[in-house]
Amino acid sequence: MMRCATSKRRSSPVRFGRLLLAFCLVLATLLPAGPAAAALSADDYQRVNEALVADHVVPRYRTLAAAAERLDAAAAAYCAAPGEDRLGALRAAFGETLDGWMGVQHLQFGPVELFLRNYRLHFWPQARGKVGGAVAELLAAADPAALEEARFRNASTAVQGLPALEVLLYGPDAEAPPADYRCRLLRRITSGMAGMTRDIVADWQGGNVAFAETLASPGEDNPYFESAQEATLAFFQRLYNGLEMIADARLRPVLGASAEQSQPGLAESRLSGRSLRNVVLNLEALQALYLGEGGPGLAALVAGSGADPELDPLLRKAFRLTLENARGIEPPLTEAVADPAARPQLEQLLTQVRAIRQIVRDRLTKAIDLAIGFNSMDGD
Amino acid sequence: MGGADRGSGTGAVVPALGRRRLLALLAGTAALPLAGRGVGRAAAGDGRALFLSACADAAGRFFAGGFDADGALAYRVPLADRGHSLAVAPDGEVAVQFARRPGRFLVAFDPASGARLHEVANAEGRRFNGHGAFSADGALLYASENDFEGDRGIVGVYERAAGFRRVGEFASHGLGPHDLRLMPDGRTLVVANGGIRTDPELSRIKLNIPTMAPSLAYLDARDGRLLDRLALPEAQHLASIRHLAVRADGLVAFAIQYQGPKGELVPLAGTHRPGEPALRLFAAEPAVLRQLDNYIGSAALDCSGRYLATASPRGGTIQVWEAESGRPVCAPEIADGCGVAATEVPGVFLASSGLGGTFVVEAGSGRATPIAAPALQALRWDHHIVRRDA
Repeated sequence: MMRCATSKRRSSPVRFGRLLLAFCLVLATLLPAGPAAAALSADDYQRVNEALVADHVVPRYRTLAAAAERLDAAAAAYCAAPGEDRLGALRAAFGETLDGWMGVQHLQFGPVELFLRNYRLHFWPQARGKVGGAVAELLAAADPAALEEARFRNASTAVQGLPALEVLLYGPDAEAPPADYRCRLLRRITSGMAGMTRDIVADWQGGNVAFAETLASPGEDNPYFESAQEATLAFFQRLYNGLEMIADARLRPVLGASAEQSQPGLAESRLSGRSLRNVVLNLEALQALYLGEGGPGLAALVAGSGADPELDPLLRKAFRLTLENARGIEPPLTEAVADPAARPQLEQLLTQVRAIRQIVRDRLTKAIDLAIGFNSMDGD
Repeated sequence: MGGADRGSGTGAVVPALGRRRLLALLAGTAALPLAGRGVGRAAAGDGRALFLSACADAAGRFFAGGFDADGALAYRVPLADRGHSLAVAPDGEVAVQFARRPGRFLVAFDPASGARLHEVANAEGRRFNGHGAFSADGALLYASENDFEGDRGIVGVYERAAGFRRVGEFASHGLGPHDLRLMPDGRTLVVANGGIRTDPELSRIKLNIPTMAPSLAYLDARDGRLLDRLALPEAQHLASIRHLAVRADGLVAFAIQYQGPKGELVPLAGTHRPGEPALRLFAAEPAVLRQLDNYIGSAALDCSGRYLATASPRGGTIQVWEAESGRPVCAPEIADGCGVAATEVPGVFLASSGLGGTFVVEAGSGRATPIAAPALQALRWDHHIVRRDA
């Protein structure tokens, strides 16, 4: 009785560009006249996708993995002979690893999503006080079995990554000679992080996952990406979501409505005083996703489509000015929120990030022909 | 963009139809003539019913809108912020629009005229999650809410005769309660506890994905007593149960938003019959699941109860299932399509798009036919459509 099929015929990506004209004619009957659709081909998207994987994603994950390996070594050295110098070296290695993470934290798709690696490496934001509480609990119980590798891997994500490490290195008793258990926890975290980041790099490039290939070979049987355009959409979403996280998680809640209503306790990486540095590194990474890093980025599609000639100069300028402002804020975020000189800069930064977000949502999607809807963007 | 309810269309919003929509157009499955006036009515019954849905205009102003199956826009009720779903009283004389989570208001209005009746703000320490339902006698309204301080889901209780004054609350027995319905027995509420922890200060960011524990809870509508609670097996804890549709015989259909990796294709819809020990998931071929992009934004049963429609705005697909067997029936494509509601004709749904416009969806033909109605095409329709019978 039911005549409709559950699968539909699809046009091959190769025909995409040629058929775009037909699409526009149909579209014209459905919608009042709008800006001309971009004449980008599947190859255009494909070229950008592959370049972003090769120049942006993989090198940045390599940087993170290398930093995590040095961090693990620094933790080993510190625990072998604890002292001020080695604590300093360990903290420096922590900072480099956090920097590495901030350079990829926008790339929340692919291997980093497997086995909850994203949450295990840096679960933020999460419920207030959760990390400190979970670490304190672990230290108080001092149960050796809790640190067995297989068990720790399945432990609360709150104790497995950079936020827990920050508590150990900058929180209560960080400068006291570490108890044996504290050091074993440190090592368990750093070796886990080194392993996870190494595995992410490996999974992008080969093995069972080979996500670079998944991204580069869209099609009907590809569970992630049906077309090159859809893979580009994933990059776009990372750009948009990255901007949203800066505005909605890293800045706005901390700033509050006024200096009096600011909440420094909500700042990311508060203990190590790196909150604003994180924001700068996030912005640099998002700028790099847009511009490309050696090869083409999303900007190349804007140029290729020609649909909005003013967009590219506007976005370049917006990123540049926003970064200049962010880099120019002197005090740490936790103090800047109530600092009469720095607070206006922060408020401006928030406005700037929101403006970029709006530009990419309203104009970049159009210019490079990515469909992002009212509902699909929302999530509920 | 003045007078934006006509004319400028969706051009100022997002120009492109979805990829899948594009491909469908090219393949001819959706390149149908627009249904003219009268066609929607013919497909959707006698047209006396009104369909209610939150929407936004091209200028970014938010409303609760009422329209008929023919595409005539009856009214728009202005809202201070974006709305989500609505509830209609059993007598059809009052409708309530809930603000989108973390919502700060509910607005009661006359669903026949659009006249605004009451606006109620969120209670201290509570926010609306966007859904609600009336009691069988229409005297009380139940709303899904969050208690952030207590880190728990709440059902807020409001008294209609008192201008929707909040008169009580009880636990939803799970985090992040979302959709909520009254069962046909008139005494039981069924709540989709999505399982996700949020914080009103952190926008809509999800704070507990690694440990989330969604559930379907049955509560006594009189006192909130927990009657039954069902969860998926622990390995499926990332499947956030969000939306519900309830059949006259008590079958509960639910729809899922999967929080795991995009390429993991998991069942996204299922059913439960009260008293049964487990939730039943609709298994489906990867090709079917992939079209849904791990995300279903709304669910509705048709008037016969035979078909369940689940809308994926991300996949640009309305997937129709046979509610009893869980068999996929068809998947017409609507870019950013999310709102879906039963019409008076078996197997026929009314659906809407966030890019603008409404559609007649027929399970029989597997088609989604746009309704020619400039006023509706000029509005971005939000997640849910709720029907109000005349």
